[in-house]
Amino acid sequence: MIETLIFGAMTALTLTAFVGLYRAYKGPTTADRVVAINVVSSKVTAIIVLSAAYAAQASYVNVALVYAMIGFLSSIGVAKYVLRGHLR
Amino acid sequence: MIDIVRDVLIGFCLISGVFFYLVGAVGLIRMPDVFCRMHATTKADTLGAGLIFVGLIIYFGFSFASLNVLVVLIFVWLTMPTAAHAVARSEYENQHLDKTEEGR
Amino acid sequence: MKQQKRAGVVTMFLALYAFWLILASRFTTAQLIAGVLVAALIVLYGFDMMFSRDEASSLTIKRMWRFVVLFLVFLREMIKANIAVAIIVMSPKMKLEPHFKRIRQPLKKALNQTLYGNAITLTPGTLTVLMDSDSLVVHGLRRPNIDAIEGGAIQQAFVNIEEDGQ
Repeated sequence: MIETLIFGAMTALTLTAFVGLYRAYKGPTTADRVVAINVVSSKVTAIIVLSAAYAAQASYVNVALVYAMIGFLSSIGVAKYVLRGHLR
Repeated sequence: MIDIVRDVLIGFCLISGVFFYLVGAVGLIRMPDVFCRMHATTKADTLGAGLIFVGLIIYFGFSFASLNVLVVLIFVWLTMPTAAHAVARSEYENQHLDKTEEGR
Repeated sequence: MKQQKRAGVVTMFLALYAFWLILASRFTTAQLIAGVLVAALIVLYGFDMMFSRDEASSLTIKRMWRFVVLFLVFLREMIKANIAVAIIVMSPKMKLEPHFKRIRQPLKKALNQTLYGNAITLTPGTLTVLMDSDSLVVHGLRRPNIDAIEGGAIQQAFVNIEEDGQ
């Protein structure tokens, strides 16, 4: 029962992630694209944690932690690069 | 009995979490400019992630898996607004560069 | 001064070791020893990343209680914010008046300022854009939203955390 619900949540999140991809393709400014990719990466983090519950593999949660860290660092990096033109 | 309460709690958390993610996605499409979009996505995604993770913490019960999920939850709640602030700041300074002219 | 530094080292080491144990999730001898080594290395090379006395206020029982109160207030505001955003997004004709405004910053310690900026981002209709030591630039969705920050419940809770308890 709960497993079905978790699978449904994963499917719904995957479908809404495509909305983010549309904005990343369309978005007029760079900030639009960064926000869209940020949204997609937060959805993917949630999907990974959900799949840890679905597959009953607790160690998948660490993958989600590393994924969240990489997403955060990359959006900070792009924001700084847009602001200054270099990364130092 | 307690199983039913637990299942209902998990179901409520997961469904409302997915609902708030959906709100974020609709906001990303419908809002008129970058800052308004950021309003929708930051708030909705943070609460959506929080709700889904709380549901999974109930699902895993008292174990190391739920401690790991708690770490991910704290990390996401601290970093989502910070990343939004960084992006908003860079966009704001790009837009207002010619007006303020601080000789950066 | 010396004593404060030692307390900082011990706190950082214990926090890192607890983090390692949570991530490792099992207690073999090799895991425990590797955790001690890694935590010690990070403390050795990264101690300057720890909050200093003028960046964060010291942790007392009273402050922890006030932090719990702050967290509950913040949670209530955040749920309100999300319902407001959901209503705005789902309504067929969005009534928005986006604008920027500079408001006063009441806090002094850097950690509290950071948390305050994040809390403003997550509460109804406001988004922190720029931040320095005595003011914030906030982007608002509607006029009343930004005016609700100053003297609001969140700001009061943050000021309570910073005050007294020395």
